[in-house]
Amino acid sequence: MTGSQQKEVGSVQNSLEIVPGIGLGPYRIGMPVAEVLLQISPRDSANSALVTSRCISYHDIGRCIHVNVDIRIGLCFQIVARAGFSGKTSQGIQLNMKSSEALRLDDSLYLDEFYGTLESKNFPGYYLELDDPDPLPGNFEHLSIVGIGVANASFSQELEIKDLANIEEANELRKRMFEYYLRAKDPTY
Amino acid sequence: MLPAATVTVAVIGAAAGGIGIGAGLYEAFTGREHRWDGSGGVLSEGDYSESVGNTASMAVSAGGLFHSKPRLLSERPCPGSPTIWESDPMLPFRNPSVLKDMSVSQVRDFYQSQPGWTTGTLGKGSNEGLGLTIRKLGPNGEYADGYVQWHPGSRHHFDYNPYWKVKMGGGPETMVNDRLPAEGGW
Repeated sequence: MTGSQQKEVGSVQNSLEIVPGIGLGPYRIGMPVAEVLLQISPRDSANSALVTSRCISYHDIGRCIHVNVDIRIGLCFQIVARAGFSGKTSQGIQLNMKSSEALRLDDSLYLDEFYGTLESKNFPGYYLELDDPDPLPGNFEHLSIVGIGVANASFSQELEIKDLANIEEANELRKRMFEYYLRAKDPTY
Repeated sequence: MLPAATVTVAVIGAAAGGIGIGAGLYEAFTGREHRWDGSGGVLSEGDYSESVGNTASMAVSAGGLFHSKPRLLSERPCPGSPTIWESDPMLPFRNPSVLKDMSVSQVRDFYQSQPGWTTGTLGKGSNEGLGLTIRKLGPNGEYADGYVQWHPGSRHHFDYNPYWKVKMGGGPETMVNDRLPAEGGW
C-alpha cells in the first residue's frame, strides 16, 4: 500500500460520519461485499453472522458498526452503529441519549410501529434503535438510543418483498443499487 | 374384503389425531394443495359426512387407498387444534386471539402460501433477524395496511416471553392493535 493509500484509509477509518440514506463511517448503501470486507479485514477485529437466509451481518468491532449485506445481490443495504460508537448525526443525536432529547434535536422523528424504531421525516434514511425493540406509541420518550442506522427505505422495501429468485430481477436491482452507491461516491458519475 | 370406506375413515381418524401422512401436516393444516372442491372454503360439519362418502368412492375407484388422495385430510383441520387456516388470512385481524396457541412456523407457512402477503424477520433493532413478520401487500406489490409479528420477547413486554403483535388501521379508527402472549412455540 502506498503512503497516500495508507493516509486515505486512515482518514476513512477515523470518520464516523452519518449520512442519511447514504452511509455510515466508511460503509455505504450499495457497497459491494468485496469493498466491505476490504474496510474490515485490515483491522482484524470483526466477525460475521448469517442473520437470515438473505442477510449476512459483518460486525466491525473496532468501529462498533454492523454492516448488513444482502447475499442475493452481494451489496450492503443497512448499516447500524451500536454500543461503543461515538459519532453523532448532524443534529447532534448520539447513542445513549434519551429519545426525548433526540426529539428536541429532530422534531420530525416519529415511531415506526412496524420496525419499532424512530424514523425522521426531515432526514429520511436514518433511524434510531431504542432500548425497547417494540416501543409503545406515546410511551417511548424515556427510552435510550441504542443504535443509529442508515438505510434506503425504497431499496430495503424491495429487498424485503422480492424473493429475487429471478436472476434478471436480482440483477436489475443490484445494478440500480450499485449505481446509487457510485453516484453517492462521485456525484459526477 | 374390507370395504374401502371403512379403511378410509380409519385413516382420517388417524390424521385427526395429529398424524401427518400423505401430503403431510402442512397440507393437512392449511388445506392448500388438496382442495378439490375449488370453493376455497373448509368443509362444514354437514359437508364432512358427504366427503367421507366421496373419499370412499374415490378410494374404490382409484383401486386402492394409498393411490387416492385423502380429501378430508387436507380439508378438515385436526379437531381440537387451534386453527386460523380457513383460507382467511384476515382472521387474525378480526380476532387476534386465534394466534395465541399457533406455532410460529404454522403461521409463517400459511401466509407464505397466501398471495398478497409477504413474510420475513424483524428488520431493525436488537431483535434484528429474529422473529417473524407478515405484511399485507397492495395490488402493485407495495406494503399495504396490516401486519402480524412474532417477537421473541424483551424485558419490556411479557417478561421476556414471546408474543404476537397484530396491527391494522391507524388513529382513532384503528381496527386492531394488539399484543398477546405466544404460547404455540416455534
